[in-house]
Amino acid sequence: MMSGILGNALSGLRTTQTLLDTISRNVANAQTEGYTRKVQHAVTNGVTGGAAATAVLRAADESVLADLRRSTGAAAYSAVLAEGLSALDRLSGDPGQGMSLSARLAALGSAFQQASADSTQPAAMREVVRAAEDLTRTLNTMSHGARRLADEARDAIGGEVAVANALLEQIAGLNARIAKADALSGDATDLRDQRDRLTRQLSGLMDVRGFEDGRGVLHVYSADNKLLATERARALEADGSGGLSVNGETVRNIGGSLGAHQQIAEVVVPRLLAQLDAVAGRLTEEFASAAGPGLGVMLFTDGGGAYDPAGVPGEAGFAGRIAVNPDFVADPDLVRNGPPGTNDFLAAARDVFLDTTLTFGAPGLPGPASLEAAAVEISARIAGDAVAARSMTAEHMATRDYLMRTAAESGGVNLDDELARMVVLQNAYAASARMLQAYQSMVDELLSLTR
Amino acid sequence: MPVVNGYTQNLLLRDATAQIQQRLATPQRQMASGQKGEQFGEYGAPDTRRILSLQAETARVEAFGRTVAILQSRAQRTDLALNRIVDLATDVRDVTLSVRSGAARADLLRGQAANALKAVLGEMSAEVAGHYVLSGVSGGMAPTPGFDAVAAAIVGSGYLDDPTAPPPGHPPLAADDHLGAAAAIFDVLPPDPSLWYQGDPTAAGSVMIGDGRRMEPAVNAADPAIRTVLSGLAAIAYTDPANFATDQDYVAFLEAAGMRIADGFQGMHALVARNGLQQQMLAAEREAQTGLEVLLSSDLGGVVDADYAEIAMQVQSLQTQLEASYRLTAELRRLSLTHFL
Repeated sequence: MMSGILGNALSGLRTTQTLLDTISRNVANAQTEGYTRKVQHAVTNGVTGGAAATAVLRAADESVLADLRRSTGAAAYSAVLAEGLSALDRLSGDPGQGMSLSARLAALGSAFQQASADSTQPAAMREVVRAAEDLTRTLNTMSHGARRLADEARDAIGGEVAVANALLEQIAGLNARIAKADALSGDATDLRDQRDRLTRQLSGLMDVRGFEDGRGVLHVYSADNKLLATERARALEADGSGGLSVNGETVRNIGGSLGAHQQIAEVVVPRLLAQLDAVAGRLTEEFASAAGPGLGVMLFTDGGGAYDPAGVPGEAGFAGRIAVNPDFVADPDLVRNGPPGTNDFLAAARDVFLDTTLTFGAPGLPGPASLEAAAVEISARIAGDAVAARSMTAEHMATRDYLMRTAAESGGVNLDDELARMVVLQNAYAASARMLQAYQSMVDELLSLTR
Repeated sequence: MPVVNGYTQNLLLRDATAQIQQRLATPQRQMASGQKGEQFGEYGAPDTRRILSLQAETARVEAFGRTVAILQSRAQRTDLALNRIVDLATDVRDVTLSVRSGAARADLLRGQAANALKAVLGEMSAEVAGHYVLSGVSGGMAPTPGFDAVAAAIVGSGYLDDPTAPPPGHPPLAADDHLGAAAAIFDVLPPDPSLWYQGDPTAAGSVMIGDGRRMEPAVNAADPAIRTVLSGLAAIAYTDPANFATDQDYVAFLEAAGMRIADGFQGMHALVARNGLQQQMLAAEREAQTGLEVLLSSDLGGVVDADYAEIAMQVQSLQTQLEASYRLTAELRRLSLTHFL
């Protein structure tokens, strides 16, 4: 009986000490990023009657963490997309300044209007040439700006793929260590915290999903179910044109910031460039018609040379090359009569801007419509997409914040709770110590009786 | 029980503070610029379409407005020119009709007619901002080559001295038809060599003054009324009294020339009336354009311009939230373990 009392008191002290250690660990790591509260309980040993501490568990809600990963990916996707669209939107200029593509077209139309009403004024002819140069400059700037944004997105994909591969390597390494710790009945909770933190970082780069198998290994998959990591990582590869692959297989529905960069480089910018090229091509062709067929002299040229839509498949990149005919720049009076052989060039040129029956061979542009309506649609489409992306970002951020709060409430450290438990455990520790004192007194009493 | 501390909570608080600061930047920027946004993306697709369409419409209306203003100046100058031509011709006609003895005052009368012809030709070349007010000319060429050239051509043709020996391509006239000779000279039209008119009477020269609205020129330099007046003046100025058998024949010629000038007046008055009507139409167009410009500007301002009262309320609300957030952050930073023990 005496030895039982001693054993129970000692187990109580040891158990209390272990539980206090866990609480100390929680309190000490309350401010540590990615740390989840560790939970450990005292149980009664059914055989000896002493106390024992259970294994350390993480107070993490796995379903909330999975939702948080998805939400982090969605928020990153929309934030990067919103930033890219905002950059494209800036190419349309300040709304109050009237420097957009449609405003430039309207300005050139107005300059022709002025010139046709006052054709003897050299200043009116110079104004036409100046307005035409402003228009081509705007088209060039928008085209080059959009291309630069696509290049930046491709560069970002390269950089982020390297980061994603590093994260996958670290996750694979942690998987191995967790499996080993679990096999040896060790405490792998901190390793799991670390792995969750890395997985969440990865989910900001791309949509990932996963499950933990019986050995404690997290299997990480892409959104289209391509295995990315177990105890070994599979490297993602960027193809240089915005696409991603793993083991030679293309990854689809990438999501995250990588998906947004891909969307910008492969969808948003190419669509805008096609629209700009279509407007620039239509403008040039209409002026060629205004000047009369077969004249070989036009107001707009392809980088100084003759524009030939048939010779350039898809008119690719024409908006970046369109320029005012140097002959007109050198001699603005050419505007008055148009190229040699033309009749009433000014009136015909003015009508180009009033024609509402033009067609544009690019997706997303209205037709039949005027040049100005097409330009308005280009800017409006970007603005609408930018607003939608920002709104989507706000929604995903709100969801992410809510899930972070939920995760924090279920897995975060509450110092009040921890300190209350600490007081309880201190009392339990004191009780166990008191048992040892009582045992000591009893032993002393027995020894004194035997003397 | 909600968690009130820990790393994640601090992180959330920091994010919340940053978000408020970010939201506060928008109204502050709006206050500084006076616009709701600095990018079209802050307005959305429907408003962007509206802004750009309104801006383009404004540019179009302003351009038409400038055109109408130019046309108004021209019409005003045309009115002056036409009235002056009528006044000059009236003076000459009055004199010719009051002449009873032509030979006595022939030199004086011819000089007055030549001066009037010179002034009328000058008025025909009147211009506003480098643009000739009478239509039917092109390529920056004046409607007439100038008085000296016209005078030299008339005299040099010898047609007035001997109407029966016309220049090549012109029909012979009766031996005493000196008035018909002057008229024939002024009726020479392109593509034949022209003595006084250098334009193209068939050129339309209409100008667009609004969406789908064009205005035809009111007065063409080759108008028959002007020709008639010119021929009457030229006949008096350059027909030698010595070509007539008697003084009475010369007086009869002067009367006929005066009547010819008077014939031109009816057409001239019609031109003045047509020009006046065009001035009225231009004034009405300009008034409509001004009204439209105000309306467009107001519409554009309604979409683009910031509402200061709304901004002030937003700033106040966000500043309150920001202060609360700062206070909470400060409180949390001050906490230590001892606060929980």
